[in-house]
Amino acid sequence: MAEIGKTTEVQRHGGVVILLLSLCLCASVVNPSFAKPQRIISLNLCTDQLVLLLAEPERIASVTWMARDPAISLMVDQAMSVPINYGRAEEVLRAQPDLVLAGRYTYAPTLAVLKRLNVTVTLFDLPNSIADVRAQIATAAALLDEPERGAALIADIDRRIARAGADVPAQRQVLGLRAPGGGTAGAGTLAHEVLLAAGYDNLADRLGISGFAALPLERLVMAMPDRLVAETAYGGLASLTTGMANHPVLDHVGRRIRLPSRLMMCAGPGIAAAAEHLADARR
Amino acid sequence: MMPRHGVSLVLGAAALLLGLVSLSTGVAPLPMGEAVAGIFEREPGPAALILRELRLPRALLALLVGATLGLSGAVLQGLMRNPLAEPGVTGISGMAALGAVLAFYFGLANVLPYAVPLGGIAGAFLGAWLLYRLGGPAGDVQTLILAGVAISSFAAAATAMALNLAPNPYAVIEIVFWLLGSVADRSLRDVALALPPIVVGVAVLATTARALDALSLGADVARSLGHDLAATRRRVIVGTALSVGAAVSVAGSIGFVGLVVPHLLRPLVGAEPGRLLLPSALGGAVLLTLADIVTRLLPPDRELKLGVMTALIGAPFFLVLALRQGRLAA
Repeated sequence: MAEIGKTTEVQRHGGVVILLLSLCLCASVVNPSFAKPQRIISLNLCTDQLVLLLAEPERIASVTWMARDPAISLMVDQAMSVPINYGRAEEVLRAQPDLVLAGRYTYAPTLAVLKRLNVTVTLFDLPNSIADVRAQIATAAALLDEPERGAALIADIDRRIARAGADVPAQRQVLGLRAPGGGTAGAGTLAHEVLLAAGYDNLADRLGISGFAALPLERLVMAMPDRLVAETAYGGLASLTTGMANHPVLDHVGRRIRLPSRLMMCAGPGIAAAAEHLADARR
Repeated sequence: MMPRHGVSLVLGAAALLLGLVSLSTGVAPLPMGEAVAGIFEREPGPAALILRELRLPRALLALLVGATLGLSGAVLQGLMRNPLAEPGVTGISGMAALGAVLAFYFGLANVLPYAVPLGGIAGAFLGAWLLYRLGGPAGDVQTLILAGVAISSFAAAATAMALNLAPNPYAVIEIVFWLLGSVADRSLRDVALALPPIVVGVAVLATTARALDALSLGADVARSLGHDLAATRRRVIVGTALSVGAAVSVAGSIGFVGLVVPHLLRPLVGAEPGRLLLPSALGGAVLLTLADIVTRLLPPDRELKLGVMTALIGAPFFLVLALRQGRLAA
């Protein structure tokens, strides 16, 4: 009896998967790429924010649960008005999306299984410059079929960054940036460009660091920057990472700028806000 | 065989020397004269800051934690009359990490500054008590080790679960610290938190030396010599809980130090457990400080956790000892 029950269950599940598969295939057939996508899924916090900025909530099937976390998301309120996902392949299948956006570092097995099930996923890279940010917004706007909104967003970011760097002093202050894991960002990174745009010199660059690299506390102390950014998201919650951002030695290293780390997490309007925040701190 | 004090003197000098080497090892080359001169200043320069706020706590913690692990290993081996007993293998350190994790990540430390070491101590106490219940002096080598496997597996799983459920998402990646241990980038605050319980615990453990000597002749002999074995056991459990619990709460759980050190020293100072205590404490300090210096030879973003170093030395050692035990038993 039990054996028979099991078999039925397996068959039923198999049937569901095949049904879903065929639905997905249909979806891609009946929805040619030039139509405005109506069931958009985002699997990455940064694409969440682009989707929430550029598309109407009715067209969004879901964004990730992270978009509702005020410690890391800039668009908590908007994310409250759309469904959320936990980045699982079955959530994607169930929603029968016509556009799926994810990050280059979205959980690889999930991306692989989606590919095997013929779901097209558009991957967004980590932006390494303000130009990359512009390009990503333009790409997302094209995919979402919202080119005007995309252009307006880019123009707004450009205008705010230009204003943040309008009064750069001849003698720039050196700013040390220390990420939660003890790393820093040198030349060739978005953070580096934002620091320069806001009127600072990047300590990492002065130390000859390009790209992302470790910045041991000892090197940071030895270099003695004028200003220091060493925030962690979730600063109020206990963790060793949080503790490291509050190591007593940092009280002696540069005047601290409390830059909410959610501003620097993704490409988008966050970087304009970050540049404004940094520029205000030096005025 | 060297005279016992000779061994301790040599080890003490080595610990001191390695402590100084540890102070002068790091990514930033330090002008030592300037660093030492500035150490008591109100507004110290970078060199003095690095020495005082980063390297000093690191060196002190390596010495303290190493001494704790070496001593508690020697005491546990004496009490259990079992050469494989030590806080890491038996799960006492793992339980200490669990207690510290529960106190740290769930906000208790904000209410009570001593919550984290107290959590570590409570966990270590529970681990030591369980171990004694499950594989105490009546049990044979295998029972003790199997009990230790069960306790450490439970502790590791519960620690992983606690870190997964912790409010701060960074907690999940910090499991490496709790399971493998490190003294990198700790502060003088951590030293201040761990020092008092370690000192008290070590002092309590030191009082068991004569009872352990007597116990090595058999429980009946020890009793006839006037030793209250139940009291000895209590002191071992309390002393281990205090010192190992506090050590793990600031440095994570670092295995095998308590196993390796007493074994290396036994041929030098003799088999009586009591004679082994001071040299084992000093030897533990030497071993862990040395291991911590070696971890810093790699680039800082590749720096090894201390438990990796000690397990690379300790695990083969453990295997050899376990095989030898098996042969003796057979």
